[in-house]
Amino acid sequence: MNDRTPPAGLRLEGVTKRYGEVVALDDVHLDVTPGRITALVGPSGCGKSTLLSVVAGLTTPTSGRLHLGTRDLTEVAPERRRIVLVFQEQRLFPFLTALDDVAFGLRMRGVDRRERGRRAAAMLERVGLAGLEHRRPAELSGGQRQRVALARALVLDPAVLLLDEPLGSLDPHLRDELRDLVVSMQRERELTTVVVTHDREEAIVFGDHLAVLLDGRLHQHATPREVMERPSTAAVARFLGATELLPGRREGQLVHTAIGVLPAPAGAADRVDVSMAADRIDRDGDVAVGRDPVEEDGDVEVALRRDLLRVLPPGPTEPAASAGACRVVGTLVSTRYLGTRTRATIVVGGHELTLEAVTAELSGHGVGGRVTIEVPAESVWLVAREPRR
Amino acid sequence: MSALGTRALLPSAPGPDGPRARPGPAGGPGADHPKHGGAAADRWAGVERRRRYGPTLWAALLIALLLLPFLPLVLASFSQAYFHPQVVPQTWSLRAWGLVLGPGAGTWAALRDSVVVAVAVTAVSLVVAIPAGRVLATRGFRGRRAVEVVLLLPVLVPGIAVAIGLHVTFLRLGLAGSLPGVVLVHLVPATPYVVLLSAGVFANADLGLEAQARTLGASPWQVAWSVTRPLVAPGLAVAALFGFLVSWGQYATTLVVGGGQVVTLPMLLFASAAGGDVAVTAATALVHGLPALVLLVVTARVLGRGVVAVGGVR
Repeated sequence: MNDRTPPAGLRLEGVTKRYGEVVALDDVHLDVTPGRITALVGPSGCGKSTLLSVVAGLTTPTSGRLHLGTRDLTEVAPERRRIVLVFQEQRLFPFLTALDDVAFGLRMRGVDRRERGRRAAAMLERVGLAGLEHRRPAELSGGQRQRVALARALVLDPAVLLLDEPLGSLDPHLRDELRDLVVSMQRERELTTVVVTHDREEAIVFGDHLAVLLDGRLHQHATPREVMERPSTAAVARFLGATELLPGRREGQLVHTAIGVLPAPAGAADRVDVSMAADRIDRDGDVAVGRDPVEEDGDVEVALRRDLLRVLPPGPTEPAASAGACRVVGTLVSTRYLGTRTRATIVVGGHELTLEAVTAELSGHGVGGRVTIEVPAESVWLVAREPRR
Repeated sequence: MSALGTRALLPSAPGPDGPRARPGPAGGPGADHPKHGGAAADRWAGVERRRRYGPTLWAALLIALLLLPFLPLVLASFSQAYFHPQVVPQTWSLRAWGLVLGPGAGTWAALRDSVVVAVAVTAVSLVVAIPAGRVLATRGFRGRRAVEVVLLLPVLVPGIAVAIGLHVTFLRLGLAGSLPGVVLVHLVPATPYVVLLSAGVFANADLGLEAQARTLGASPWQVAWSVTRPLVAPGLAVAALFGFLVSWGQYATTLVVGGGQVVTLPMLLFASAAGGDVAVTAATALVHGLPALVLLVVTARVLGRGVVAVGGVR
């Protein structure tokens, strides 16, 4: 385990997959960071599973190349890629015991019986299944099956591990446990990993990086925080739901919107880590990407970070908390108690704004009353208006 | 035999020490097992009892019904005189068996030819049925239903009609009166069964396991041997058994195409039946019936073990 080669990065160059008229993957450029977990997130049917299948070699892309480090994998047979795909439904062999299942890949490689038995048993123990070596899939619970599938992949010491909805079929209380197991095993091996999920929160907690795939196109590839707070496109913002989207018009340092005049972010090229992927999509011109906050005057989409919007207490207004913040006034339409936080719907200038505030902050306000919201400059993010399709 | 029947009928019945009741260390399945109250538990026990013994009774009944017709055959084959309304023969004799198994009857040659033809038919029909069944089960293509109907047609058309039609062609090709000719004509009724059964086998198999095996480093040949074979072998054994039995029972097609030169067991059976010697007919029928029965039982036994292995109740 010590004489490992450094983890290799996976690179997709313009990968496209068409099924007849349907475009499952549309010119996807993606650099998967070596030794890290990249969470590939998108709604069902966005092409995530097709992407995994292409990387694993089970689906041949219509066009585009696939590289692992310096090696071109595009034409390489799946069994020669050293890339293991763990399917959501686990796909354990019904005719094999857990031990033989984990040893399967080693057997295919010609590792002798005793050696593969030893390694498989050690791996089963590592995933917490010691004592269940001789169970068949039908005698294992869903969580146990997922562990066997994971052990079966890791015992092969793959160059890339692909996990398709690894927590999808599990009960909620087992999810955290298994996620921690996956992450700890990934960390100790510095394994280049791609996790596919449709669940935003899962993607955020799982991924060192987030790749957002929408309608077969890669919209953004960056850290979870970057993607959440600075979505590259309105579609990403809408999918992640962390920001409130409203149309606006930029004029100099100000953005005119339905809820009022907001401060436009200053030229912020230095604080934004621009992903190459976004760059490439931008070049194509099909999907406009806010590489930075839109610098030019004109129509934009304003993405307001909900977590930074602050509902001010009723009564005389206190001075602004941060420089450049502005205030908008609206009517509290409804609230929904969520525990420590409360979701409030506030109509400002005809636009319905939904935000979550600390419950105590909202306690002084009654439904139907006027509410002042502070909009800090950092909460404003601009993305280009999407061209009509 | 009856235990086998139970297993076959209930491949994955959760027994008292079945998988659900065993607690596992890491979030074992026992955790979500519902707890039963007293009355509910009693009712549950009743259901369990019925589940466990019901199938055994049914299997015993079924086996009795299947074996019963053989009894009069056995009695008749050992009889000298056996007339209505006697339940057992008036006089016993080994005469019929002596005649049937003796050198003059040609039973041994017929048995050999029957086996040769049936094995060949089974082999050839499997070669056709494995790829065809897989394609029918996994690929949606235009005209699939039409292909299925065409496949079933030979089953619907009487064999003798097919045989008479083919006879002319076979005469021209020099296949009439030969073993290969008989094999070919048996394939007409046998292949559809084997293909359709094979399609069912592939439709029920989780072929996603093949893709999984590829990413685990198995070459296509390794996948075929180590994954597909164990997945479909039990089902294909049943399909093969059907092919064998269809060929084993052919009379009309063998008669027409074999032209009396290929003598299989059904040919002898029909000849002796026409001759009117009840004892000889019964003995011939047993010689014809027993190998098929043995094959059936052996297949069921082997598969029964497979079902236990796959079902996981040990």
